[in-house]
Amino acid sequence: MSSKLTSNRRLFIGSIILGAILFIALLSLIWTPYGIEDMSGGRLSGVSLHHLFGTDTLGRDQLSKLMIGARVAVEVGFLAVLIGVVLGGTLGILAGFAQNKLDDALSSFLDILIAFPTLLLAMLIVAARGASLTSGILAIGLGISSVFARLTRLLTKSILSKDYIIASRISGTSWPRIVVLHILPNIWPTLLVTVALQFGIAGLAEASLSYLGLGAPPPNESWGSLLQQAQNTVYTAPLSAIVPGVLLIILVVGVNLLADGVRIKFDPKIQGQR
Amino acid sequence: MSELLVTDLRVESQSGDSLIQSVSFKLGSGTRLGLLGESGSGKSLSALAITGLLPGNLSASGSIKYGELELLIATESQLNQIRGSQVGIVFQDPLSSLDPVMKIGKQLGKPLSKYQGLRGEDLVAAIESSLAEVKIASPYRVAHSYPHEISGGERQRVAIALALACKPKILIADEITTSLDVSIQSEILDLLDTIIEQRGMGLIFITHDLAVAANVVDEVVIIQNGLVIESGKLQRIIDDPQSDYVKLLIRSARSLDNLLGKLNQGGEQ
Repeated sequence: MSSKLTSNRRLFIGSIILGAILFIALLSLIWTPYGIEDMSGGRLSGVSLHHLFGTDTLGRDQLSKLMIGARVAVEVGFLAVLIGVVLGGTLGILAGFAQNKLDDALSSFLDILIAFPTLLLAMLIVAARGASLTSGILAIGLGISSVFARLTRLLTKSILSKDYIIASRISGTSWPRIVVLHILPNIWPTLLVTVALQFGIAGLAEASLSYLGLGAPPPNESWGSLLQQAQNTVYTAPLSAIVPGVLLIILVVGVNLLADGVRIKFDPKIQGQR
Repeated sequence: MSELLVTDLRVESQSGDSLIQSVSFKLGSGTRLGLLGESGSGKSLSALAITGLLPGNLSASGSIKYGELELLIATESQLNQIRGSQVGIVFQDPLSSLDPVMKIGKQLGKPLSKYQGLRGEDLVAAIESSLAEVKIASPYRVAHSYPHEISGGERQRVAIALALACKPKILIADEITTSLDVSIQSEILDLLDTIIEQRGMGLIFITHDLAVAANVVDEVVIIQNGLVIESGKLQRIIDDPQSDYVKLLIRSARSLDNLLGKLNQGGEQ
């Protein structure tokens, strides 16, 4: 099933989901139903018109916290992936050009990096810098840059072996021009899918960090820290655990649908296969 | 055009395996030279060595002189000058010699604007006329297509146009007809013949197929296992082959010809 309709539908659903999350994230900057310090709701009050998703153990509005969590998720996902793509992509392209011993050295370095658990790396950085949103973003960004570096290295190598690179070299094109003209346009469709995947993974990693108490400290609320807070009261107020969990899933699915849709729609190679 | 003189060219891999043991040939002005041999014999590597584009794990020794310049010790910028204006190359598989995500017109436009300084409408006109030169029936459509959207024959024509865009003095054609069916093969060979004639270029025609070479070149160098086993005028070699390998090549080309001849006669009856 790779009809045009499907790719459009993916694009459509993905954009709606991501658009909605983005809108809520932006809205939380200027308006939330209740202030984050407002404890007027009463402990663990259930779902009501005043508190759509109830309140937490301190009487704060769940919906307001979820909205702030959306902002943190988008921020972490976007910035961490940006760090990962820029850092990892640059390293990967350089490694792609490297040959012989230098190539061996670089790829072993990348293998070590990728074998090193992202979460452990994140905990090290958080331990060194202290728990803050920036630490989390930095840690997750560094962690996923190894994924991008390895992928870009492979893609670059495979493109460098193509005849059109030789032809381009023979017509006197310099290496930097070859990167811009041939390598980047050829690798972005594949990179894009990884970007989406890693965006979701970054959101999850942030949730894990927060869950472990290493994430953004209050007044930042992330979906991960909401899950953590909910674990003690999960039997009395299950909604406070279910909603952030479901939102995380929706985020990951939305980003993946969007990226798939974009890739299928704009990658000339896939268009050709149809 | 300056003379290209390859003397005792050797190519070794890093582990010391000898891929080309000794290859020598001369390409004079307007010469059409065939490099003939089975796959793995070192034909394509010789061509890459001429352009200084051997893969990093291979090293060349011997001598490749172009005019006064020794290419094997030339600097990158000297090589770039030679590459851009003197040598063009066409490969076996046109799908891999064209960037799959760039439209044909744009790919052709790069060297045209770089070497002839064309911009805007002039560039568009030049792109279409260079496509017309390689006998593409609808230059406008092809210029606005991606490589996968045009036929195999058209792709190879585009690859030729691309190699010609810098107005090279030498054209290296590396097995350019191998991936095409026979009727398109002969069209491409005719096209190559015409263009080489018109532009007075030197041609290095790399092939494993003696019959195909016989249609295009006047001189051949026959390579086996990285060694030149026979070289000289094509006609002389066909009339009077010295080595067993070349005799075998000629015999098999003849028997194929005979077979085709019989088939043709059968068809006419």
